[in-house]
This record gives sequence, structure tokens and C-alpha cells, in this order.
Amino acid sequence: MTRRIAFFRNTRGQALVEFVVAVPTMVLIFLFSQFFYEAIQVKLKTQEMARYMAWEFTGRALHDYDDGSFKYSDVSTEIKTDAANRFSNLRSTDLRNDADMALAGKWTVNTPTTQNGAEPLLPGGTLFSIGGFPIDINMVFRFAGYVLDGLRLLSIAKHPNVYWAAMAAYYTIQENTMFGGGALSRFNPPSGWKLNTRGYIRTQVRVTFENMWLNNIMAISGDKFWSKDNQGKSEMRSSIRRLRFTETYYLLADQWELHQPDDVVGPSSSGTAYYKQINRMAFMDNSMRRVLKGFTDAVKYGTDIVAYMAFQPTLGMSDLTQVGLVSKNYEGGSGGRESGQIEIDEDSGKKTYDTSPMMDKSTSNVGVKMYEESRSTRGNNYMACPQVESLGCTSSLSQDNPFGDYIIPEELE
Amino acid sequence: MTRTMKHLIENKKGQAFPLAAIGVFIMALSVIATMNLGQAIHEKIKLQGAADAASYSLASMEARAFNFVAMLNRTMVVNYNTAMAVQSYYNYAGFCLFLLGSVRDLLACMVSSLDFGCTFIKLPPWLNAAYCILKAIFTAVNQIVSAILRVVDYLVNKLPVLGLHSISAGVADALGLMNKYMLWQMQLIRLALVNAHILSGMHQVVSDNYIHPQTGESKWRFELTPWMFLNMALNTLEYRAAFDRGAGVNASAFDLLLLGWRDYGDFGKRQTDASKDAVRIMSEIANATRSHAAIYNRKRGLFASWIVSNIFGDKMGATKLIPTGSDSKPNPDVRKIRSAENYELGDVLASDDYLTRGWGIATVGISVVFAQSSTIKGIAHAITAYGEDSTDNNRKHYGYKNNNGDPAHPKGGYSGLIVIPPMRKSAKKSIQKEVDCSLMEKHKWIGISPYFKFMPIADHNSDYGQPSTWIFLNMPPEKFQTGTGVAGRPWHKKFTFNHGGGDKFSQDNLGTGQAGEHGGHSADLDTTIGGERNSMSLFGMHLEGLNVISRGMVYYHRQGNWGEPPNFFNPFWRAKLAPVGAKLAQWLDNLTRGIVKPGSADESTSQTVVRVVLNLFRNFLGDVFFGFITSVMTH
Repeated sequence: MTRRIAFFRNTRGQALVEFVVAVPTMVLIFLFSQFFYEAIQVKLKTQEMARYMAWEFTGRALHDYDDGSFKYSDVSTEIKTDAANRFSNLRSTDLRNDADMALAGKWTVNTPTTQNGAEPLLPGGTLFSIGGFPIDINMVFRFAGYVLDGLRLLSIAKHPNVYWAAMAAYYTIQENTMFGGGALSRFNPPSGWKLNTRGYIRTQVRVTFENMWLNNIMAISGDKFWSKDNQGKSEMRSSIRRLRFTETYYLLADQWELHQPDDVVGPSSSGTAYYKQINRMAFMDNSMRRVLKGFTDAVKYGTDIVAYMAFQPTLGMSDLTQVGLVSKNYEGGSGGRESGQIEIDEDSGKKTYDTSPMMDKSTSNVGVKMYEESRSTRGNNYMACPQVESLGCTSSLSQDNPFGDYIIPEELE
Repeated sequence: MTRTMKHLIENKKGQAFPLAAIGVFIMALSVIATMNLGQAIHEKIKLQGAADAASYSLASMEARAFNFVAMLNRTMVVNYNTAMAVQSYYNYAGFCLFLLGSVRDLLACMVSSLDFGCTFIKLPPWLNAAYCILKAIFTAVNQIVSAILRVVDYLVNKLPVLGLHSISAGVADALGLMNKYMLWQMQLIRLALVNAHILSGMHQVVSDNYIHPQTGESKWRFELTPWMFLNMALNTLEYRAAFDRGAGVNASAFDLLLLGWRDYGDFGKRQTDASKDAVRIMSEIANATRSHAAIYNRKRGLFASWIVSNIFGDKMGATKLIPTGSDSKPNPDVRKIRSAENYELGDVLASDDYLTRGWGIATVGISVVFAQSSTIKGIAHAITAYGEDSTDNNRKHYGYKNNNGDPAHPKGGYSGLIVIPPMRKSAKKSIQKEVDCSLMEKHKWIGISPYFKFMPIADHNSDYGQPSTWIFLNMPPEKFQTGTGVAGRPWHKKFTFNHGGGDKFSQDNLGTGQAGEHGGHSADLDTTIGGERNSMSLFGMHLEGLNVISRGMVYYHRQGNWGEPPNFFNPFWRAKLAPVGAKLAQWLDNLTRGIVKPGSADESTSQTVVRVVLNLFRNFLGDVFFGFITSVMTH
């Protein structure tokens, strides 16, 4: 007992004991701090990679109007390759092959995945109940579709026209085939129009982050030191030895962009993508168009016969159902309106007309200036700014100046 | 006691222990704080990413819808083009009918005058024989022409089902109905679907971005929070402002659900007035339907048209827009139609035939014919700007009917015809007009279908009317500070220090500790991020947790041509993310328009001060305010 008291009162070696206790604790805290810091960094970079890939899809054309083909597969391959190059070691600016580790951890980027889904859906769930029968939003829209079907069929009675009755009947019978048959497919364009109804991009990146020193710690301390899970394995070892980060990002890309801005001036521009797209959409589908063309041909050839009998020349249109798409570029600012006009050979000679449907000079009923004013106001710079982008879309030093626009009077600039 | 206290104070044994304990505790807190901060940063980025994805996706949905509307508007125009071409052809057939009728009339005059020389005047036999032979020849030709005329008339007007009139009227009407009940309906439901997504706050995108990779379940639930109402209201207002109600209904939910079909009624009503709006809408369609391939002029042919035009003047015609006249007299005023100056705008898409007024002389033997062309009223079909309404009275299908009430083209006919020697009564009778110009009530054209039109604003500060999409999201602390279905992550610690109570120190996972529950005073040390303690309240909305704002924008850009105004007739709409602060600065610019004017050399000091202060505030809004909103407030 006396010796034991003497032992506790003996201060010799105290520093060594404190050192032995404190240093491993400090080392552990440091190592864990470093480990968690690196883990957070890797997790953020994983998140960045998934986000980067998803947003890359917004800058690529996923659909080609020229032939109606879809480009998702090619674009996905390009983006995966690009992302693999940029994020192979999760260090965008470090291109070394062996830069996939730090002090506490080592990481491995698994091959990312992408998906091209259908457009986002509306939130499900019951909106209200009718007699205990739950009604959700999809049912509401489906019902609205039936109402529209009903209105169309009622229109036959209101407008007794055999041609329209045939068209409406064909449309109703072929509706499922045209639109794909899904309950809400009618909210998308008919498949024959070859418009992209997908583009809801999902990117997913998985990264494995492995602790490089945990095995050594475990070897030193022994398994008994750590608590066990219900399978007899070390909980800490299984939970932090190898972390798996999975980051997913969703967004709707591809805005059905028409990348060809060419002037279109009727059938002579039939090679342009814009013309081809409208040609696919004209008269709903090819079957209806062929039947319709039979009747317009009857008018055409009947009129030609009449013209021959009256010793008159024929009018000369090759096809009365041809696509009459005319869309020329309008330039902004003053003096650009003529760019969007075409000349028509009329009885009274050649006359010039705007090709844009909306180039009137009137104002709407709410007094807002309309298209012509808008055209003359817009500039030819980014986002139609009157000035180049670097000046912030104003006419002076602009936002670069803390005191705002026009601090230097325009006359003195 | 004093000695004991003094001993304790002076005793240095064990002093390192509390220091080490405090030091280790602080270090542990640092580790915990690092992890919490790291997780909060991750969650903030994730939330901002979800908001960006939602605002961009909503802008994409709108851009898709606008492009879809533009393509369908063009498709409707294709239908109108075909209706117009059919109209041109049918009318041209009527024009040919008119030429044949005119030749028949002329031949009848000749036969009449030759009959005078052959029958009523005593002439030398050889001359009398010549008159009689000529009369026989002209009579025979006249009978041939009359026979052809009857065939052509039958083919053009009287043949049921397969006649030119039946087919052209039926096809043109059907195309108008197709535009309304197929294409326009497709526009409507697509735009309504987008509005439903607006009302959902683009929930699906936000929710999907919070899907757990293992369980597949999203921790984001659809809730009607104040932020959600803000999203609904702002985006609906932006969306609604994009539509020009003058061209049909507004597709926003506000109009469809709250105002019902009032806009549609307005559209119909506006169409019944020969107002500027109706003319404007028709002119828009006309601009879209003008094509080099359409029929705009009639070339002179041989024989009949050569004779007619050289005797009586040019026979002209076209298919184009013409004005209807007035409300009180909705019949097309042919005198106006004849004036080429009235062709450019109008609310009736029609074909017309007219003769330029003139005199001509034809001589055959001693017969001399002086003829003045009358005003030939040759409208066949017409597509009016009138909207459909319940009474069907406003949709007129202009044209002519003959004495039997059937559709007819005028088969010749001249108001002034002088024949020397005078023609007989029978000849006069034969060339009487057989037509009566009036409305053909049996043939009503459905009119121009409603279509969706963009409402541009000629102002850069208003983004030219291009709508923005706003997404405000809030994630309360309990959603990102706890794991799924467990009490909390081990590093989410809340420490409560009590003084003077039973327990000196307690710690628990979030939400389970009660400050001061053990008596005395207490102080909390919460290592988590985004709690109520440092959140703001804005208009009654508690903003604890993380808050993010994102703005998307739908914009129109024809590649290489920024100047072209945004519209719903070309599919050049795209989506982008847009700066939030810049929009605030734009709003301020609009509010202060007229107050802040460009500086000038003679600007007064007070004006300069006002301008500088406003500009400072403007830059504050743009640069500082949203830094504050997204950083300080959401911490």
C-alpha cells in the first residue's frame, strides 16, 4: 500500500506518460481531421463531376432536325470521355496519372453513367376525391384530353363537312398509334414528327475513397479495441475504411434547338432543316396528307382541264399541299427590316412584303409596343444588347463604374 | 478553508489535465465543425444545384413549348397555304368560265348583227349570202363555245361531290377545322402542361435530385410552403405575360382556370369587328402565307382572254388579303377590291377577278361592237378573319349564287354593249347576267383558328418580354442534419452547458436537449449549420436552414441574328440560367425611368446627386444584395 502511494506520488516519467497518451490522441485527431477533410473534398468533387456532366448536355444538340435523328448516344460518349479526362483524378487542373491520392485517402473514379429519360412528370398524389374516389393530376389531364376529343367529335355535327369528318375519324382512330399510346402521350408531339420528347438527363458518378492508414492503425491497436457490428466486423473499419460517394444530377436538356438559321423561302429551300421539320408536321401525318392530296389534285387537274378548254395557260403549281414556309432573317436596329422581306410577282407588278407574320407597326390592346418597335430596339450583340457585352449592355462605362451609368456625360465620352 | 483554497490554487499538480481536456475538446469540436461545415457546403451546393436544375428545366420546358407552338403555327400556315392554293385554282376555273362566257356573249352579238344583214336588210345576193354564211359560221362557233361553257359550268359549279366547288369548299373548310381542333388543341394542352409544371415548382426535378442512390427514394416531398407559393406566383406571372391575348387565349393557368374562356370570347368578338386587331391578325397570317409558290397573278392566255383583254381591257385577279368593308355592310365592297392599293391588309383571304374598266371596238363585216367592261364581281371563296361563335352568323363565306341559289361564277356579262347595227332582243337576253352577288349563307368558312402569339416588349430592361423562371428553395435543418430514419449523425452534436443546476454538462444529438432543464442558467453550443438561432424571418416566412434562389430564362435567338424580335412563328427559343441581381437592377431601372437620365454637360448638381445615389443603389441591388441574400441570410 505504501509502495503504491509512493508510486502515485512519484512524478518521474510523468511527461513521458502524458506524451504517450497525448501523442496518439493528437495523431488520431489529426489523421481523422485530414481524412474527413479529404473525404469532404472528394465528395464535393464527385458532386462537381456529376453536375458538370449534366450541364454539358445543355450545350449539345441532342436532336438533328435535318433527318429527325437523335444524337444522345454520341453526345453521351463525348461527354463521358470529356469528363473522364477532366475528372480522372478529381483534380481538374492536375493532369498527373498518380494524383489520385492525398495524405489520408486514395480515390477511384468509377465509370460515370448517363440516362436520357422522358420529360419530368407532374407530382403524383391525390388532389381531391369524388365520392371517395381519389383523383390525381394525371387523371385530370387525361380527362381534359377526353374533353378535347369530345369537342372535336362535336365539331363534326356543328360543321357537317365530309372531309373534316373523315379527318377527325382518322385522327381519333389513329391517335394511339400517332402519339405512342401512353395515357398522357398526347401531350407530346406525334412520333412521326420526330421531335425530341426526351432529354431529361440523369448523370451519376460513383467514387470510392479508401483510407490508407486505417489498416495500420487496426494492426497496431488490434481488433479488440474497436466495437463490432452484428456480423462481428469492426464497425469503424467497415464504415470508414472504404467510403463510396454517389452523386446524381438531373436536369432537362435539349431545347429542341434549331441550329440552322438559314433563310427559308418556300419549296426552293426544301433542303433546309427548318423546311424538312415543318414538312414532317404538315397535315398531321403522311397518310392524311396523301388522302388530302388526292382531293387537291382533283381541284388542280380539274382546273387545268377548264383552262385548256378556255385556251388559257395553267397556273402551274406542282403540288397544292406543298409546304409554303417562308422565314427570312430580320436584322435588329435601324434599317434592317428590308432583310426579312420578299418580292412577290403580282398583277400590278412586283411588290415587297414582310415574311415575318408579326411585323406590323400597331400596338396591342394593352398599349405595349409590338414587334416592329422591338426589332428596332434590339441590337445585334449578345442577348440583343445595344452595346457589346463587355460594357454591360449600357451606353457608357456602366456597371464597371461604382457610381453607375453615365457618370461621364455622353457628350464628353 | 482559506488554507485549503490557497493550497488548491497554489498547487500546480494536474494543471495540464484540464488544459489538455479543454484543448482536446476544442480540437474535437473543430473536427466536428469541419465535418458539419463540409456537409453543409455539400448540401448547399446540392440545393443550389437542384434549384438551378429546376429553373433551367422549367425554362427548357417553356422553350420547348414555345418552339412547339412556333412549329405548329407554321404548320397551320401550311394548311392555310393549301386552302389558299385550292382557292386560287377554283377561282381560276371560274375565271376561265367567265372568259368563255364573255366570248359566248360576244359571239351572240356578232350573230345578232350578222342576222341583221342576212335577214332584215335587202342586200345584193352575194353580200346577203356572205352574211348568211358568216352568221352560220358564228352561230356554229357560238354553239360550240356555249356547249363548252355548259360543260365547264357543270364541272366548276354544278357537279355534286366531285365538282371543283364541292371539293375546294370542303377541303378549305376542313383545313380550317383541322387547324382548330387538332393543331391548336395540341398547342393548348402543351402550354397547359407547362403551366402545371410551373404550379408544381418543377417539383419532379428537385425531387429527383434528392433521390437516395441506394434506396431510390427522394427525401424531397411536395409541400405547399411559402416559397412554393412564391414560385407559383412569379412564374405564372412571367409565363402569362408572354402571351398576346389578341391572337387567341392566354395559356396561363390564371386565364384558363380563373378567367375561363373569356379570352376566347374576346377573340371571337374582336374578329366580328372589322377592327385593327382583326386586320392585324390576318396580316400576320398573310405574312406567313406569302410564298413565291402561291398564286398572285394571272397571265393572259390565248384566244378567249386575248380577245377579251384586247377588246375590253385587262382581266386581272389574285388570291390575297382584301378588306371586307364595314360592319354594317359586311359584303366585300368590290369597288374597294378593285383598287390595288387595298390589297396589302385585309381581313378576308380571297380570290378576286376583276376587269379594268375600258372601252373596246370589234368589227365583223359592218357590225361594230362598242363595249364597256362592267365591274366584274368575281369573288369565289373567301377565308374570313371572323372567329367562330355560337350563332354562326359572323362567319361569312363570300361568293356568288346564281338564280337558283347555287354557287356560280359570272359567266360573262358586260354592262355597256353597243352593237351597230343594233342587236336583236334575243341577243340581249342571252347575255343577261345570270348571277347575283350576295352572301352564300350555305357556305360558311370557319375562319382563322385562334393561335398563340408572343407579346414582345420593346425594352431591353424588360428582356423584350422573354419570361424568366424563378425557383426559391428552402431546406430546413432537420432535413440535412439527420440521416435517414436515425436519430442523427454522430457528429451532429448540440452541447448544453448549465451553471448552477444539477448537471454541469450534457450533450445530445439534435433536438433532444432542453436548455436549462436541469435548473440554473444554460448556454448552448450547437455545432450544426442552419438552425433557427441564426435564421431570418421575411414576411412571416421563417428561413432557417438553407435557402437558395435561381433564375432561368427563356430567350429567343436566331443563330447569328440577335436582332430578330422574339416570336411564336420561328422555333428559335432556348433556355439559360440568368443572373438574379441583374433582374433586380432592371426592375429598378424601370421604376426610375425618367428619373435617371443620361448625364449631360449641363446637368445640375442635384440631378447628378440623384443619379449617383440611384446608381449606387442599383449596383447595390445587382452586386451586394444577392450576395447578402444567398450568403448571409442562408449562412
